[in-house]
Amino acid sequence: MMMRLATNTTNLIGRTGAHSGTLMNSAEDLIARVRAGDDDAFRLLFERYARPIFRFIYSMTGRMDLAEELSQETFLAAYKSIRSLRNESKIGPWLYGIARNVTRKSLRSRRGVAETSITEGLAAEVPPDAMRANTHQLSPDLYLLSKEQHEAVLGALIRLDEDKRLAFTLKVMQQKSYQEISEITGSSVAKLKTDVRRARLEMRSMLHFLMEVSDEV
Amino acid sequence: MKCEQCLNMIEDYFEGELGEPATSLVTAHLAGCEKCAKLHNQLRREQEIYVGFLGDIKESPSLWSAVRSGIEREQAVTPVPRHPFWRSGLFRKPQLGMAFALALIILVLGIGLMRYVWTSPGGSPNVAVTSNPETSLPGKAPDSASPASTGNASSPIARPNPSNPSAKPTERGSANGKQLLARRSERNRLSDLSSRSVSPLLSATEELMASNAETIKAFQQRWQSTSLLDGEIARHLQESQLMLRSVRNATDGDEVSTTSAISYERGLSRELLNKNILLRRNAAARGDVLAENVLSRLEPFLLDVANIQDKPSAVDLRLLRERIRRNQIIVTLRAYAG
Repeated sequence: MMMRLATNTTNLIGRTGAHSGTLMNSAEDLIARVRAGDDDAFRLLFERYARPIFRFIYSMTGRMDLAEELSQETFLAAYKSIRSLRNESKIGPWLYGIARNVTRKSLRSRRGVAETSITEGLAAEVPPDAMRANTHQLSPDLYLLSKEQHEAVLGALIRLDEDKRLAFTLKVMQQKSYQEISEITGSSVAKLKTDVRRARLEMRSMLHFLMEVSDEV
Repeated sequence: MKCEQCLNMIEDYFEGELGEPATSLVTAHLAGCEKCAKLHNQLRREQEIYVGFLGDIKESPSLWSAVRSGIEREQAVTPVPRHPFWRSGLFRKPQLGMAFALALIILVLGIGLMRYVWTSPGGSPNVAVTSNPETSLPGKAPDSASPASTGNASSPIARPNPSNPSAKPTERGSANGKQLLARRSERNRLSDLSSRSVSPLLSATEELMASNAETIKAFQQRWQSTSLLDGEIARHLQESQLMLRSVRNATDGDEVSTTSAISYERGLSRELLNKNILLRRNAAARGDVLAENVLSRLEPFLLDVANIQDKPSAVDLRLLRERIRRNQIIVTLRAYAG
């Protein structure tokens, strides 16, 4: 009985139309199913990429509400244009590329707003619930320290120029390889390395007090 | 490895972007260099802070609901095709508005083109009815039209003049302009001639198609008689032309020779006058306006010559000759009789 079940399960692997909950689906398989009109497959893609995309947009914009709105816009654009995706194995860089374009467009449309007000607004919008999610076991002092640290990093990040922020976010915070970042941004690896190095230096100079506190803790 | 080299590579080393031989060298250097190891530790602490920055950031649970509702809106606006294009097109409601508009445009253009072709000179057979009547005489039009209809390039008018290549540009330009004008007038003339030569046949064909058997028979008899009379008129006009030319060219010599010469033309003119009266009446009876006109124009001259005195004075003869020249009756007859 167990042997037969295992055989049946093996036969389903990679087959288009296999139930999403029963098997691990490859990105290619999910894309094929989305193209065939399977909305459940798109939900699986969403669940796989929603958090990194959301965090990327949050890093770039510094606002939770805007990150929510632009993430929605990113996945809608991906759903509409998924037929134009030529290399299904590159779904990750493709989604990041859409998110980057959506974010850039939004940032440019909001360029009239003073950056300082954005920064202040962003810092004020650090989600308390999200902060408490993993820090509820901390003492009040450590919680406050964690909140201040978050605000400080966000403030420094927002002060980077767009190219540096993009390279720094993808390399340092999202742990992407330079090759992947190059596919997402279209920039050369050499330029990306320079941007990341300069961004590290700027962030270090802006967050030196935080590093000292961290050393003390 | 020196510290400078290590510091240049330490970020790549930390990020895992360094190749294998260099990674081993940096690892060995960090184990023995406190300064470089301190920098490496700083990078590690920074990384913990940066990774921790996003560690608590999560999307809201309602994000998927928002994306899904957006997808549903999108599908409502542009439904995903469930069949291939040719199948969906096969069962689609036909939309013929554009096709009808296109057909209407083509129809209007076609009607306009047909009207243009039929109303342009030489394009309609009806034009021959109102055109120059001189070529309706038998045997004239087909012979004149044949070189043009075959596009004969040996026509002296249409051929360019290669015999004078050293002519000045202005002279050549004026010569070309003259040639162009002559070619154009010749083309128009030949076009009229060809249309006129075709027009009787077309008219006859139309009548044949429209009439019954008796009408066809009557038409054939009429056509034959018309042809005979036309030939007879032509001969009559030729003889009259020769007679009038003889009168015109008569020299003022001695009285005897002049009188004897005129007496011959006078006798001939009387015969021609009688024949002219008959032919003119026949032409009027059958409705041949052209023949009637030319015969009517000839008749006074025949009458003058026929009524000349037996011994005409030199003044009378001179007046007669001048009248013949002034009215250009000989040229007219030559044009009609060929």
